[in-house]
Amino acid sequence: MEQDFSRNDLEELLRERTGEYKMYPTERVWNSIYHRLHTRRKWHFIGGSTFALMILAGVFVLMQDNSRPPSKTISKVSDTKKTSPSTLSTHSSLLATWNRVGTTSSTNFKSITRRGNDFLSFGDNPMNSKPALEVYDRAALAENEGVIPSVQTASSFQHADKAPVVSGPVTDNPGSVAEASNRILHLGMTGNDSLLTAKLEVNASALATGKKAIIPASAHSKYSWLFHFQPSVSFRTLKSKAAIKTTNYGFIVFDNNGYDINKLVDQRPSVGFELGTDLLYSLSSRLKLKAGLQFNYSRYTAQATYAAPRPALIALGGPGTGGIPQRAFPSTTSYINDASSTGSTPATWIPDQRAELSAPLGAEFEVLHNQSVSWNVAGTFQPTYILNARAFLLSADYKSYVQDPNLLRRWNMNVAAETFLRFNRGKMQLQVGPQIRYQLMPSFMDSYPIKEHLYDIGFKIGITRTFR
Amino acid sequence: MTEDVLLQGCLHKDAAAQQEFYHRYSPKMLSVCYRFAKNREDAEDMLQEGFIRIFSQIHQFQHKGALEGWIRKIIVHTCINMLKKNKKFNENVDIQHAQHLLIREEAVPAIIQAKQVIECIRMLPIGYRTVLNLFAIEGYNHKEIAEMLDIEESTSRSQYTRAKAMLEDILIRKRIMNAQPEKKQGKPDKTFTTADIDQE
Repeated sequence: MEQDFSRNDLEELLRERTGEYKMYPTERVWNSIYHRLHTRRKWHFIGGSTFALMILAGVFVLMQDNSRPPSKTISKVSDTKKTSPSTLSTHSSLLATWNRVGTTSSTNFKSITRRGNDFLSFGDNPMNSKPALEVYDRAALAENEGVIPSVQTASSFQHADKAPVVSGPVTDNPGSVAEASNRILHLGMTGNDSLLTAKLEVNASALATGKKAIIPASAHSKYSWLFHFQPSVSFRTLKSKAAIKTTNYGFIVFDNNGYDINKLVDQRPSVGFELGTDLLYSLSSRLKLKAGLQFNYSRYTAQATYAAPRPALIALGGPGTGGIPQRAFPSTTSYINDASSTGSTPATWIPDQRAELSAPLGAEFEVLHNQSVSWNVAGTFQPTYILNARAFLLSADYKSYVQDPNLLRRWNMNVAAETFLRFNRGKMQLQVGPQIRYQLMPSFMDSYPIKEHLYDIGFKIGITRTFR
Repeated sequence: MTEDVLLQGCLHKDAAAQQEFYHRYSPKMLSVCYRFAKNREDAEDMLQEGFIRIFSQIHQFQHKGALEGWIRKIIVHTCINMLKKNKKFNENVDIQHAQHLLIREEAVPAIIQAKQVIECIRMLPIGYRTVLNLFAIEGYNHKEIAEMLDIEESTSRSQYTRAKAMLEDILIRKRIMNAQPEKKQGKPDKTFTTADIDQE
């Protein structure tokens, strides 16, 4: 019995002594729980959406480049007779006008379309390569029908006004190279999106001898895509309206009482990132305009001490803000600004983080360049929407951190300045360089007297692909 | 905020309610985790996993017992699951004759009352400590403990007997409990009185 009593007594002692014992976890635990319960799904959604947008944009660019309709047409005069009517592809954007001098001609025109930058040179025989499109056998058609073949196939053209035109009188004598040499076939080429314009002049005599005289103009587009990623470090700077006051005489004086508000908090930067895409338009050889979409994640931490809930007061309003009343938080604050704490409880770092979507608008200027590399400077204005934020406000006595999403400014404006080197690698260009981004408007509403401005410093890596 | 309001908020995944819920129960639950864990960091990891399970399963709470008891049960199971992932734990908990812990006097921390008792429990080998925690403090019987730890019921009993003897030894060394002044034949050689502890 006594043994049992003793055993039960020990268990009772253990239960009694351990049952009510409390240990206070560090803030890290709740942050992790909160992150896993709430923010992870949001981040997955935001990150996934951004990534999907980037992929779609990339696919779009590649499709633009690869699925471009034939952009160059080369006409060739041949003596080959063909009796079958030609096929005119509905994908072609060719408009031909034929002014015929004689009644018959054995001259057959073949239109061969090639894509991209595959410029033909002298000696190339386009017949050796598989033509992308055989347009028509006009002579045979004319002979069979006995009419002057003035053919317009506008119905099959999507951009008749921009379509290439082949024109020129055709002699009765198919073998008359001399006459043919006096005739010029004009060939105008335009891409279906009107981004690309080029003109070729083909000398008929050269064509008669099987050679093509093609003078290509520049085929480079003024548009290009930029994809960029930037690991960054985020900082913040605080300014207090209370530091400026108006005297009775109407003067504005600086009333800093010997302190800087940034020294009243203990904060440190943290790592974030930027991911985005821009459309660039070349105004000149050196100046480009840019517009795009980007996602920013920035964060910094402030040192604080976890404490049981206690009242806090957020000072709002004041002179010039319409007398907005102060906002009291009876028992919601759980963090004490570490700079004002007594130091009896171990401090923790509370994360302040933002997820933003911005639409940068700006320009970049090429300062120096050689064949393979150029040095550029760029700047953008970035209207910004805050997708998600965990932001802490300092209480009126600077002793507590309080969260109040209602005071957060959802729309803001950032400016960014960067300098970078751009390396030419064929169709692709790689750019690397530092960038600084500054938030122009305070993070919180105007009625909140402490003005917080964030700035990110990072190293931007980008790939540019030029339309052709 | 009442318990029902908190529960409703947590059911609706309201972050403020979840935070209040966490702050209300986490201090006690961390002390539970701490008795099972190797150190405070591990205890906080257990607490974190436990509360994530609690928030994700809170709709399963059926108001049949105390909410704190339900929370404690999930926390204890989380601790055991995390311990079982540790190979060393699995080896130790199934050893019938665990190596006796050599306790040096200077190794015993100078602590008082509840924390002192907890620190003494934590000085036990992990297998002993786990069984003792489950049986003596959490109130599970040996059959349940055997199922939880995947061991034989007899192993649980012997582990507990040894754990208890070792803990008594530690408590006496720390003078948290006194050796029984008058030994009787066939009686355990150590016992204690709560009065003695209070005097400490």
